[in-house]
Amino acid sequence: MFAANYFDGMNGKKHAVHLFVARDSLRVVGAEVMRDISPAAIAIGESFDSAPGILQFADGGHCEIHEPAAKAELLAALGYHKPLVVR
Amino acid sequence: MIDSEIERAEPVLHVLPQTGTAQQQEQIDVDRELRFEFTGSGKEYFRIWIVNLCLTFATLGIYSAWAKVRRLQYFARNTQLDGAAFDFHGNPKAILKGRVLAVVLFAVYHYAFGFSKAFGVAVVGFLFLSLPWLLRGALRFRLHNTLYRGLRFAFTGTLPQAYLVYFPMMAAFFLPAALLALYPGNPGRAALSGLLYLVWPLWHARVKRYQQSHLQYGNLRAEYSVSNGEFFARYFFAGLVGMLGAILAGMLVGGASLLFKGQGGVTYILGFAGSLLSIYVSYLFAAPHLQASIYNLTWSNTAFPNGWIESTLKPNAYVQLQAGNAVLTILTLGLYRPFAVVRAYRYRLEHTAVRINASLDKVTAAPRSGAAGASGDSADDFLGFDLSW
Repeated sequence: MFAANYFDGMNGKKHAVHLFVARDSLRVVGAEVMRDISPAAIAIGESFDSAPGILQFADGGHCEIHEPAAKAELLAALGYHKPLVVR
Repeated sequence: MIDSEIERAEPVLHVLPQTGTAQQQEQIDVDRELRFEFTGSGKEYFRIWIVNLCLTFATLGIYSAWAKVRRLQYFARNTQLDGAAFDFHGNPKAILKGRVLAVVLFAVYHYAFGFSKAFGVAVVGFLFLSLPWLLRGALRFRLHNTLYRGLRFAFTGTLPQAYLVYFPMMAAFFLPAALLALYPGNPGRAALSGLLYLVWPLWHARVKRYQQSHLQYGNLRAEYSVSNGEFFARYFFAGLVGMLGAILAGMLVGGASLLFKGQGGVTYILGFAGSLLSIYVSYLFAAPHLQASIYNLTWSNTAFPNGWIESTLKPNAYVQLQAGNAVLTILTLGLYRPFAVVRAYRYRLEHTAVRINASLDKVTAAPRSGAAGASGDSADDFLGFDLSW
């Protein structure tokens, strides 16, 4: 379980959510949010040292993970590898 | 991660922190000053910058489009406001298309006069005519691909407005050289047209009005109100600061030349170098002073519905910062450049705030057709293309 902020891409409302990673989906759960997102619909932005991790969803929504340890763990769980130009 | 966490998802709903009623949340959100925060560092940006530089050289410039996206993403994602980060979604291939076009245009320009004078003039005329279109396209591309809280920014200035605003500035800039080329025997005519530079602050004020008043964030359109006279005042003070820099450089060189009194050759070289140094120092003082004061003027007079921007850069401090950056960049043969960029960016952000009296939750995405209607052309025209550096 990872704490994150979710934005739906339709308005500026910030939703405090928790993320759960499974083999075939990412579940986004918050007071007003409940979504299962397929890995194919997730683009992971380049992970910079202190910037939040960004998961961009195909429908325009996205999640920001601000806590550094959670970001690292989540990206690892999602199978994120740093691009060649970063390594 | 572990699949069993999915099963635990439902109970989590009961332990999530409660945010209170909508009314309470509204009170928390409104009437606040939001400060920008930059979480990047010069050291980290140096790694990105050096890789970008090497790969751009190795690929004969092709990688520069991807380098630009990485650079803009680095600065956007490390910029936070009210606990949310900015982002940049520009497509490197769109930038590459723009750069290929730029190279083609440059090559055509370079060889045009070799074919015939008429063809050369036609090419220069075409470039001149297309510049406002390209400048507007670059603004649209940059803003359309910048997001905050999942909502896009936009630029809604129209093409006819772009021509009205940029043409006088371009004419003032190019006319003296053009007249000199066309009438080499009559330099007085070119010199006379140089008087247009005296009203440069007016052209600058018009460009800034065009840029700032057509900003849009989500469904919020910016308003902007600055008189042209304000620009003349800032140029005047920046000119004084530049003169001060030139005097200081002159005194420094004058003192040095006293040490070599009687050595004609050395004094001559010092005099020549001193002139160049005076011009450079004058620029080094005046440019950041002007940049900071215009930045304050334009952003502090840009407002969105229920949101105001406050920019409080201190021009003298900014001059010191940028002068230090220039010296260190020269001493390190350019390697300090990424650190300098981060220092200046961080300084600008730390002196910029947003005051709101309504929740950002209420901002919605701009309807696609709305942007098209405002600009008078199709929503996607030229949005997949960028010619800016």
